[in-house]
Amino acid sequence: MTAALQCASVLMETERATIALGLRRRDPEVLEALIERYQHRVFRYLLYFTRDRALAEDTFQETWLRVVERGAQYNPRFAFEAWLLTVARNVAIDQMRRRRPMALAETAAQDAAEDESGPADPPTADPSPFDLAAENEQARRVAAALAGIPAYYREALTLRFHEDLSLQEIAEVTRVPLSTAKSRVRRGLDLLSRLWQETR
Amino acid sequence: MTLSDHDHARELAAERWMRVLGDEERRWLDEHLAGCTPCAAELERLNDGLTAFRTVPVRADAALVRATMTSVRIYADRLHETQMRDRLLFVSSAVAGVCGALTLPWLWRAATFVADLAWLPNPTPVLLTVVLWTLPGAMAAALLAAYRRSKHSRSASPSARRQNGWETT
Repeated sequence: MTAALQCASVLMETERATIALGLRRRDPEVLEALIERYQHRVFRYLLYFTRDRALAEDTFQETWLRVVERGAQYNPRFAFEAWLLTVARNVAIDQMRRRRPMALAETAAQDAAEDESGPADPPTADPSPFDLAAENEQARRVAAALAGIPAYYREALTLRFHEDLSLQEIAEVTRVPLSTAKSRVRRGLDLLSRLWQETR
Repeated sequence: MTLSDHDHARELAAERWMRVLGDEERRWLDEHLAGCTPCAAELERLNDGLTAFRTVPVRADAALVRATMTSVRIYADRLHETQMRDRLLFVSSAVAGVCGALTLPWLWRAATFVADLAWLPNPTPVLLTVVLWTLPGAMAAALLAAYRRSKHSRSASPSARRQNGWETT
């Protein structure tokens, strides 16, 4: 059992080292393999974070360009997913700052009032990305519930339950203390549970 | 069963998603849920919502991924090119600097010889040395700047951006 774990750990380290080397060299094969592998995860994270399909698509492209540009900064001692999502998050915040400064300011205000029941994202004229993604009744219900959850809680839920990141990794990606990451997941769960019930 | 029992149960039910509960905690929660319908219902609701949330199909569009791969490849190539050019420029500058330092005494002698031969006034050798010494570098820098400006204006035009695959829509 221990040997299997050690073997898995060595394989993971080797893989990370290969990724780091490929990024440093800007190897197109490695980059394409990474896009292929992480495409849905990055896109899903961006879509949940921004709630704007067009913005998520732009941010998706920009994220990978930034990975090409700053790939040398990736440290193979840490998980690549966490680093990639941190890059995606930074790009998304930059884009949101450029396009919807007011929305971002409100999101930041929600972050400041972490313990209070913050308002949901301001409504936009565009249809919700979740509405567009909704292919069945269940997805529509999830979309309705998520629309009422503030961005930072939604992000914490996405990182925890879609990307399977640990609380420590969530704290690193979102650059908050561990306790804040934990409280965001908790608060997100509370809201999801309540809003899920309301969508019935 | 007290109010704090229900709060504790809710607390543990949420904690379950963030850490592995201890045996004692798990046993206590299971016992509480077995005897408390509201808490069990709430937990079921949370599980339902979470399961639905985890299974929403959100996928990146294939065309977007293809366009991203193309952009990434082009951008990586361009950065490679820039990196190579910068390295080349650095090496050339270093070689030019060393050659300049080595040839300076000969240039000085040549300038002094020409000034003596032509009966030119005193500061002429100095001026001549400076001109001869800096002229090749200045010309190379001017040519490089002109080349970069013309390349930049070509690549910045919308048609060139489309041609290069940067504007994919």
